[in-house]
Amino acid sequence: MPTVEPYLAMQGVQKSFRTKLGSIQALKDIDFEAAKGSFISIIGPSGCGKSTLLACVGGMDFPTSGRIVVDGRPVTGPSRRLGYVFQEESIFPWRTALANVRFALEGRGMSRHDRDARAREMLAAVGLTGFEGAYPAGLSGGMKQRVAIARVLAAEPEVVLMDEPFGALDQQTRLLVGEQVLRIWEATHQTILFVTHDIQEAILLSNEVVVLSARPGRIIERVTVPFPHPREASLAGTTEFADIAARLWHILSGEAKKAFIESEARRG
Amino acid sequence: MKTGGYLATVVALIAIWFLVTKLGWISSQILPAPGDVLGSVGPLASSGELQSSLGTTLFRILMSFLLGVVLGVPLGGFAWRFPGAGQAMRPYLAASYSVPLVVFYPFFLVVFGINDWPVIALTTVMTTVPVCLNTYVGLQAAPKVLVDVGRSLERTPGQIFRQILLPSAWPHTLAGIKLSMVYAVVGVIALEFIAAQAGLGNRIQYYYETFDPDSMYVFIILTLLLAGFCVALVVVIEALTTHGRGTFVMTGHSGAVASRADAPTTGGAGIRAGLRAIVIPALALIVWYILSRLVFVVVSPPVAIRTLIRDLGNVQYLGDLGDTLMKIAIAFAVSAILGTVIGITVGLVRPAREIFEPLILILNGVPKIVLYPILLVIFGLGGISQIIMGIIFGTLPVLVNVMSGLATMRPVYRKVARMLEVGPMRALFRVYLPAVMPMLIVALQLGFSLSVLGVLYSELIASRNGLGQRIIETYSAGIYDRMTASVLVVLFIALSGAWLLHLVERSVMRHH
Repeated sequence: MPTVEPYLAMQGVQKSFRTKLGSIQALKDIDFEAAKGSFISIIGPSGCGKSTLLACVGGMDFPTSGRIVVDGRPVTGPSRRLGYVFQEESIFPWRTALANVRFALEGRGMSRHDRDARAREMLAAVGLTGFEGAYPAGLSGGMKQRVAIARVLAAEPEVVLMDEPFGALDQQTRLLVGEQVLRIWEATHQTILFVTHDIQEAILLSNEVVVLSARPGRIIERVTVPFPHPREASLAGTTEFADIAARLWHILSGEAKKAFIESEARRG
Repeated sequence: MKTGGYLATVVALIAIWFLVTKLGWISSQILPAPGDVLGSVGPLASSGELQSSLGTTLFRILMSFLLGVVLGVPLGGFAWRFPGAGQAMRPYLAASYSVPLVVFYPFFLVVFGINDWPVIALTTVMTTVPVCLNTYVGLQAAPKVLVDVGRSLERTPGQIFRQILLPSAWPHTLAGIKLSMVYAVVGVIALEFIAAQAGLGNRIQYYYETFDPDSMYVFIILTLLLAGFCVALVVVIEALTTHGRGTFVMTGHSGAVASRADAPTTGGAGIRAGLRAIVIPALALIVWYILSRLVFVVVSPPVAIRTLIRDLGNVQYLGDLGDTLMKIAIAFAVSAILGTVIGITVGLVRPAREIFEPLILILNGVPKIVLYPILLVIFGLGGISQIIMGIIFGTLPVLVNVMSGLATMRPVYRKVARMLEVGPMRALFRVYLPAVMPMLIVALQLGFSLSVLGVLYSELIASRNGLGQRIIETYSAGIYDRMTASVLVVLFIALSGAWLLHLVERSVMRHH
């Protein structure tokens, strides 16, 4: 019987760092598969290696052992097919919003006219029509992050990796930008891996929430989020939502305590 | 409002000039009437002297500036690409701010002859350093995430350097370029004063020597206008390359960016750091030795040391050394006190700030060396002229740094002082001064270097005594071993002073 290769697969992924105090294991035995078009959130206590895991999927970092396959091809380094939205501010301050998005399209043999048209389209998708000529210094934090998202989408990646993309935003902006990402996903059904430490955000956005343990990070739970699309932020008021949140909180709080105690011990 | 302040200041200065000459308060030998100065523009222009001097100086300034940028950016890139080399170079590049490079001028004169090139070559050394240092720092400060964006969009390392790292470092580079332009103007004018066959500085010095104050002032004013033009040129470059970018690295004063963090560090990090620290001096010694075999004006290290020891046994020489040391000490002490006091007054008292800030910033930007002939007319060739020059050079950076330190002090400190009802004197000594201490220390380091520079410049131009005068005298007489020995002494004074201040900084900044 032929086995169908999953769209995104992590097989036996381990990662350890060498430090002055010896080797620290960040990720342990990560085995994971995802179908094309899924929106998956990864949550876990601080320092559990969730960002490291994402970096390995994006080819920005390498697992110590194990392998990661996307659409049948192993990940060997950064690639346009693995779009990456960084947590820090990552748009170029010397380029306008439009030129920042266009950066993803340069050197691909597209005419300048086509590049501009496509970049405009992407800015429109994140609700930034009218801000094409604005420099980052004149944009708010939420707008800057949306430009970064538009830049990633413009490259038409197979998988979009988002590393706490709203981490630096305030609560209201977070919600609004989150909703925008949701709308885009509902329209395109692009495969998304979304790292966050916010349980509500994870449930609201994704179809499945993966919980990592305190270091070394292992997958300790996979929770399916059953709500149909299109979703609204008001979903957070329902009892089903609260049940899932409570369940995730219960799993996470134990791990978070472990991580906290360990980090305090290291300081002391 | 801002340009209005500058305009008002310039108008006020011209009005005062009219007034004091009209009332006869100042001899026309020291400050001729505006009408007389304007009257001598005609003859100078019709003979073509005005235009040719202006052209010569502008050419030298622009050449030194362009060469500094063209050399500085790749050097900064090199230092960044090879961090070992960068780390080894950095403290010495930074230390070069505290060395009066002008003492090397006689070597350049002998090698190149008296023409454009000794001026351009030495000034280029001065203009390259800030561009190189700032580019290096800017590249190091480039956020890693921006590079990651390039990687994830499959850019090659070369593309990442051109499209991401260089633009990211540009604000720093640009700050270096601005300094570089200031150094180009100051360097070229000053060297023209000492010995050059043409140019504005040379003309000022010439008309001082021929007792023609009217023509001298024509060239002084022309020099100031040219300096303003050059600074405006960089402002245009800045505006063209940074439209809308907003956040910008502003430099309070020349060198302030690099001088503190980069002062040579001692101790610590093991054998590798130790090796790195001696690599550059060893290389310098080797280069010196090779140069001494190639160029007759450079004497070899052993010869220089022997001559130095012989000179130091000479009472007259010790007298000159003592003169220079005393001038520097007085100039620095006065600069430190004057700069701090005025800086605090102007920084804290709002009306004083509004009136004097434009004047201070204008003075800070102009080549102050043009004032030296005026001092000579008033005080003669004795030590006072050089001391005052040292004070003029040294006070402004102290003042500007203290002023901007207070302006950028976290407002919450002031609020805390007010909330706790601390008296004004107590607030000054317990809150404001400690708060600006880091800036004050940078200010004092700059003040010292510039006092040394002011004294040395003026001794080289015209003086009755001092090491600078010795250097020029031995240069003219072709006694190059003694010239080299004196240059070594000057370098030693400048570097050991900077070193002492660095030690002070380290002990004061322990907790910052």
